[in-house]
Order: sequence, then C-alpha cells, then structure tokens
Amino acid sequence: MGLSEGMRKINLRLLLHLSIGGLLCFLTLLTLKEFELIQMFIDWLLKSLNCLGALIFEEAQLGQKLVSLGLIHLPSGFLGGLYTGYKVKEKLEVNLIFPSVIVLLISAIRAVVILYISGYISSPQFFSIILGYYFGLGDDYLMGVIIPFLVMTAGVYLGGYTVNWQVEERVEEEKISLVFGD
Amino acid sequence: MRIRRKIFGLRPPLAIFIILVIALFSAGYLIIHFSLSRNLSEDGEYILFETDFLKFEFPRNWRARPKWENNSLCIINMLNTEADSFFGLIYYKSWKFAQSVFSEFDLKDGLSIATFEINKFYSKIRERAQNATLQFLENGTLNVSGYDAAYTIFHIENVTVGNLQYNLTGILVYFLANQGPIEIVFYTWADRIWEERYEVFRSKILESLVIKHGA
Repeated sequence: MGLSEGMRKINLRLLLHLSIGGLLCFLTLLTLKEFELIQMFIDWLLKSLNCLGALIFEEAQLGQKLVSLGLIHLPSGFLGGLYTGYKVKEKLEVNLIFPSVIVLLISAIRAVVILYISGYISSPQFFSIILGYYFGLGDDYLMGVIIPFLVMTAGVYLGGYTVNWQVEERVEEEKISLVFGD
Repeated sequence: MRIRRKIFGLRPPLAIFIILVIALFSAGYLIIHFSLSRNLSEDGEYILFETDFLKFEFPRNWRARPKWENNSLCIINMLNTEADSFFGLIYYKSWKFAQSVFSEFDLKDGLSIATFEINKFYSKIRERAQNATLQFLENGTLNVSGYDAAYTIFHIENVTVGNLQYNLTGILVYFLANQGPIEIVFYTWADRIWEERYEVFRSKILESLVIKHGA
C-alpha cells in the first residue's frame, strides 16, 4: 500500500513536470508563431535583402518553412526540454518524448476549440479538417504537423540532454621535468 | 569515469542545437535566394512569374503569395513594397465555370462584367462602411497581350477599417483569352499617389503580361 502510494506520488510528480515542460513548449511556440514575431523578422529580412517577391514560388515557401522550423519549433522544443531535463533526471530517452506529444495534443484541442468558435463544429467539414490536419489525411500534414513535431521533439531532447550532460573537466597535467640543472 | 568532450567549448547538445538553428536558417534562406535568382528578369529588378497559361513580371520586393489554384480557377495576389496597393489576377480556366459565375451577363460584354465586379466589391465595403461612396472615373479598352480588354477606373471614398478612414482608387481589367476570361484588379488606398502607383502597374505588370498560345 505504502509502496504503491509512493509510486503514484513519483509518477504524479513526473507527470506534472512533463506537462509543465510541454506547456512551456506550447507557450513559446504560441508566442513565436501566433504573435508573428518570427514571421515579422523573416519578412523584414527578405525585404531588406530585396527578395520578398520570391515567396510566390513554392520552393521559396519551403525555404520559409525551413527558416520557421529553425527559429520557431526547434527553440520552442529546446526551451521545454531545458525545463524537463532540469526537473526530470531518470529515463530521459523515454521521458523527453512527452513534452512534444503534449504540445501536439494541446494544439489539436486548440484547433477543435477554434473550429467550434468559428461555427465549423456543426459543418460536415469539421472532422475532415481535424483528421486531415492531425492524422495525416490532408495535403499539408507532412510540413504542417509531422516535420514540426519531429523538429520540436529533437529540440526537447537537445534541451533535456544539455542540462543533464555531465562534463568532466580535463585536469591539466602537471609537467614534471626530469632534466636537472648542470 | 567516462570523459564527455565539449564542442566549441559548449556542451554537445547545446552546440548541436545552435548548429541546427543556423543550418535550418541558412538552408531556408539559400532555397529562397536560388528560387529568386532562377526567375529574375534580365535587369535583375523584376521577378518573372510563369504558369501554364500566362507569364508576367513584377517588382522583386512586392509581397507575393503563392498562387491558389483548382480545376476552375487560378488566383494570384500580392501587395506592393510600400504595402499601400493590391494587385490581383483571376484566371477562369473553364468557360463553363465562368458562365456559372456570370450567368446573367454576356461574357463578351467585358465592361458590364467589370462594373458588376466593382459593385460587388463596393457592396462588401458598404457592409462595414455605410458612408462609402463609389464613382466610376473612366471606362475604355486597352490592349493586353494582344487581346482587347475592357477596363474601368473607380474611386471609393470614406472606406473605414477600425478607426482608419481612407479612399480607394483602382482599376479593373477584364478580357477573354482563348480558354477563359481573365480579371485583373489593381487598387491603392494611398489615393494621393494613385498616378505613380498606376504607372508601375501599367508599365511593369500589364505590359509584361503574356497569355500563352492556346490559353
């Protein structure tokens, strides 16, 4: 009885930290993506480099998505990973997958809420949009969901292992001279 | 105890993170840059955009979006560098679809279709701005890629968006290509410099527009 209570306590604590890690990822993602901070930076950069019009081409859109992955999804995952790695020390290789899964779930719930508010919930398109976007039945699921999820997961692992990386500093070897004076 | 080395004086996961950020950013920018350099005009100041049906040039720093396309329509739209003017082009890919949209008109009467489209646009503005007024300034025909195109220059006053109030001046061009009708709209909400903006539109975009043979 005491043992199972203890286990439950540990699991709840782990669950709490993983959830906070996921929430941190999501909030960073929301700040960088939805408030368009990075998008404004990309627009400003392309405008400064006199190549904003290139975004009419599909390959340039792919380039823009790569920049977004590097500046939005990877740092979001990394930040969540730093927190999770700081609080969770055991079984990192398994536990660090959860923050990005939590982000995926929160994003899916948020999409459902937005569709509900916009009145799509009663439309026949509702389930096709949700299924399409989150379960890969749509056109853009690869760049829209799968790759951002993988990049964010990579960010979480890198953040988690950055905190837990044990570095043993090399001790400077003392040089002992065996050469005696004349 | 195992020695775990550092990369550039940083913990390896942190170093990998920084390298990945730089790599994704650089790769993304290079793709954008190469797609631009492959499609620049001879003088390097304009982008040459080409589809199966048409091609035209536009200034390289205009804020463009990828074309939207389905079986019936192709839509291209963009804002100019100063973000005070809008350019849009609609290409109807099939006569059947165009007939269904303009069922009450004879498609060959370009001027009435241009007027109809402007009135539709104006009534949408009126939903938000009750005091808006529409004036037709000039009607006529011009040559676009060898086709006779009907055009209408219009002016809408007292357009309100939030607390902002401005006037719109623009042109709608309509003509029939072999495969279907084409509508081009250009308008600015900085109407004091309409002439200047219109000149860029006419001399750079409209004159460079080529409807491909068979389209």
